[in-house]
This record gives sequence, C-alpha cells and structure tokens, in this order.
Amino acid sequence: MRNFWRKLRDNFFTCYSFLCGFMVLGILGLGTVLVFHKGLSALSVSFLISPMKESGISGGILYQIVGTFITLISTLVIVLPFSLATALFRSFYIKSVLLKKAFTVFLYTLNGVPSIIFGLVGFVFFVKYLELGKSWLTGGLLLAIMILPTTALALSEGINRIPKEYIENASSLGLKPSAIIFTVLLPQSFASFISGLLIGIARAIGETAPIMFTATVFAGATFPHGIKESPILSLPYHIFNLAQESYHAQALQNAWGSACVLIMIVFVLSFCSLPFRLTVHQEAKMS
Amino acid sequence: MKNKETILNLEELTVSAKNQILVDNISFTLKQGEIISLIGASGSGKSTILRSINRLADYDSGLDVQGKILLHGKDIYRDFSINQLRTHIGLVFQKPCIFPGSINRNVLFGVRHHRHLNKEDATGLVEDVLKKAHLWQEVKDRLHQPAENLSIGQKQRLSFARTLAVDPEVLMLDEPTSNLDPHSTNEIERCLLEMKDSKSIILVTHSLEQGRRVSDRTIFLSATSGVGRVIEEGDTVLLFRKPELEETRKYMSGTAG
Ligand SMILES: Nc1ncnc2c1ncn2[C@@H]1O[C@H](COP(=O)(O)OP(=O)(O)O)[C@@H](O)[C@H]1O
Ligand SMILES: [Mg+2]
Repeated sequence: MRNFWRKLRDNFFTCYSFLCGFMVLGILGLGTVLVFHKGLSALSVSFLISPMKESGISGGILYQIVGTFITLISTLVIVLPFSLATALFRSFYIKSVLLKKAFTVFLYTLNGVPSIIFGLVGFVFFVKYLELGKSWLTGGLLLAIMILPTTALALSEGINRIPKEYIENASSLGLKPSAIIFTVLLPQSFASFISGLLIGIARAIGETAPIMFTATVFAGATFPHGIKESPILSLPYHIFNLAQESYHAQALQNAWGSACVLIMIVFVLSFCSLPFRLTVHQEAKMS
Repeated sequence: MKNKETILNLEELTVSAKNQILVDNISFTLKQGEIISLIGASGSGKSTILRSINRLADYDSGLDVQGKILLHGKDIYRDFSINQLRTHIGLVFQKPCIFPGSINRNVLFGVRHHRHLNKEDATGLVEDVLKKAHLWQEVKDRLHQPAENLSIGQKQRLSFARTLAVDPEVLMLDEPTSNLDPHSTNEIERCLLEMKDSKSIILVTHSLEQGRRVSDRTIFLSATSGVGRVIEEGDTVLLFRKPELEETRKYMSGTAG
C-alpha cells in the first residue's frame, strides 16, 4: 500500500515536471509560430534593405536593423571590460564569504531592476543632466549595465570552476596577475563568458524601455554622427510604435515583419551560445 | 660539501592557519648543488614548507608565515618581488597540471613572460629542457600536438621541463613521482641527479628509497598532533644507516606514517 502511494507520488511529480517543461517549450513555440505566421508575409529582401517610408506603412526597416546592431555592438564593447572587472572582483578580491554573498545578491538585484527604471534614470542623468540628448551611446551604456549581472556572473562562475592548480602553477612560474588573467583565467572560462555574453546581448537587443527615452527615435535617424543628440532607430521601438497604429493593417503587418527579424536575431544569438554552453563542463577539466 | 655556498636558508619558519600551527620552527640550509629530501608522513607540512618558500602560502593562500627565509642572504619577503622570487625558485607540484594547447606552448608557458625569445631561441630552449627532463625522445615528433594527450608520467616531466625553462637556481619538487609509473619515476630521478651541479634541489617525497637514491641530505618530519616538526636530519647515508631517534627508525621500518 505504501509502495503504491510512493509510486503514485513519484509518477505524479514526473508527470508534473514533464508538463511544466512542455508548457514552457509550448509557450515559446506558440509565440514563435505566431510571429512567423503573421510576419513572414511582410518579409522580403527589399523590406530588409530599404529605409522606412510613410511612418512605417511602406518601405522597409534598414535603419532599424542598423540601429539595433549599433546598439548591440556598443553594448558589447561597453559590457566587456565591466564584466571582466566585476567578475574578477567577485572571484578574487572579495575574501570574506559574507561579502561575496552580499555582492552576488546585489548583482541579482540589479538583474531584477525593471528595465523602465534604467530608462528613467538614464533619461534624467544622461539626457537631461549631462545634456546629451538622445544618443546611441547612452543606449549602449544602459543596456550594458542592465546585462552586466548576467555576463559578469557567467564569467565569475566560469573562473570559479577553473581548478586552483592552474592558477598556482602559473603563479609559480612567475606570471604576474595580469598575465594570469589573460593566459589562464580568460581562456579557460571563455565558453562560460561567451555564452553569458550572447544571452545577455540577446536580451538587451529586445529591450525597448531603457532606450525609448534615451537613445532611439521613431523616424529621422540613419547612422549616428557623433555622441551628443545622435539618436538611432531600433527594431523594438519600431515594433512598439507600429503596433500602436493597429487600425492600419499595413503598419501592423510591418510590425509583425519587424518582430520576425528581431526574433530571428535573438534566436541566432541564443543558438550561437549553445556550443559554448556545451563546452562549459569540459573547460574546467583537470588532468 | 661543507665549503659550498649557501643558497637558501630557513630560520625558525612557523606557518599557521587561522589559529592552528601547521609547521613549527623549521630551520635548514640548502647549499649550492645539494639535493635535500624532505621525508615525512602526509600532513607533516612538507608541501606547506615548499609553498612558504615560493610564497604560495602567505601570498596566495593567506597563511601566516613567521620566521625568516633567505635566498643568498636576502629576505624573500622583503628583498624580492613575488614574480622575481619565483624565477629564482621553481616548484613542481605533485599533480601535473597541463595548460590547454601544445607541448611546445606548455614548455614556454612561464619563460616567455620573463624574457624575449625569438623563434630559434624558443626552438632551442624547448629541445634543451625537454632533453633535461628526459622527455625529448618521446615527444620530439609531436611538439605541436595537444599536451593533453600525454600520459600522466609524461605530463609530469613536461611540468618539470616547463619549470626548468624559467631556469630557477633552486628547484623544489613536491612528491613529483607519487602518481607515476616506474619508468617516469626513474627518468625524473635521473634528471635530478644530472642537474645537481647547476641546481640546488629540495625534493619532497614519501618514498624512503627515493630519498636514499637521490639526496645528499635528508630531513625527517613528523606530524605529531597535526603540527609538522623536524625530528631528525643529517647526511642521507649516515641517517639511513643509523637513525638516532626511535621515531625515525619506526618511520623507516614502516610502522609509522
Ligand atoms: N591553506 C590551508 N589552511 C588550513 N590548513 C592547511 C592549509 N594548507 C594545508 N593545511 C594543513 O596543513 C597540514 C599540512 O599539510 P601539507 O603541508 O599539505 O602536508 P604534506 O604535504 O606533508 O602532506 C595539513 O593538516 C593540512 O590540512
Ligand atoms: Mg603534500
């Protein structure tokens, strides 16, 4: 009898976890199918390579794509050194266990800050106080801060997985700390770091809230010409605006098309992180 | 042996973790061209002594190190930078640790941070130290292949070559052969003997036989109540023939440790 209950309970939990697993996959799948179903018909080569016309009712999304990639690259360039510093700080410079925990909680908290807050703070500080106006650089910076916890934690965990023998061997050969960072720590946590970066970036380029007051406009921008008052167009903000014109069928159609492109970029970035994820467990192996 | 120059001098070295003494009051000197073996049960602080001498203990592990360690009469804690010290004193660990990449890269891993090597220098150096480490014959045709594929004994000789490439005057080896096959063990012992003239060596071992085969002087450590202390030291031949203390005799006959 007891056996029966235990079996039932085990089966119940097995079913339950499978159900939840499939639900997550299902939601993702359904959303993707929906976006592609609605958007594919708007997609064409000329849609991708021509600039927007008539407030998005006709024309394409060339400069939205350009702007999104500019954001992506500036985010990447900014987040790299900051992640490195943050990860080294967490992995090595905090000696006390308590402080390390506190710092980790801080990073998770930063990770949980709603992105609109980044937008507002960025607006007050960069746009108004520093009088930068809307600028692609502010966008990159805010998105970089937003994904910093993801990338820094990934790198820090990667570094923590390196057996300390490697570090001790390198130190014993007389390598300076900077040399150890570049010849041992970074190469041997590379996979974790890249997968963290790609996932962070994939998240960042889909965000509207941090950039809509600080970096991006709906129309009238092409390539940035400087830093001050130099906004860009971007895919998420484009979708956001077109979707508000839902009474106009063609605009809505183009919104789905843009969503398609955005989701494809996100997927490509996430899939790129897959091989790195898979090698993470190998990199820490000791002879 | 008596009139040879003193290279390394430990004076009343005491190492402690938070509130526990790990090794207590260790003093010895290492002379030019000498091989000293440190023998003792595990936990008697052999590794801790070596790690204090190249500052892994205090600098990297945060242990408290008291007493003096002098290299050519100069205080290693005050008169050398850490990186400089480590080019003078090399350490080979018990478990070989191979960096990703080729055999060639591993050999040059340390030295290329200390001096500029052009291509020929590098090729010559790799051959030279691999020969000294008795690994050349086995790997000369695959220097550019991943070092990961070597056997553990070959990896240990590669670690050895990597340390030799930095050309330290003092070599410390921490149970270098405890995981190795007899062939690799034998090769490593032979290279230690061949290197005697140019290097001064501290060999940590738990094998009495190895100590007897290789070293000029032997220091016996014990780990009574978890604190490492020197129990007896002296000329290897004499010490093995006629140990003074009961404890040493016990260790030698295998009833302790
Ligand atoms: N960083 C450390 N913190 C605390 N205790 C340590 C540390 N390193 C070594 N010990 C302790 O010091 C003692 C001696 O260790 P070790 O020097 O490795 O001995 P051996 O090499 O002779 O086996 C052991 O009891 C070990 O647990
Ligand atoms: Mg040991």
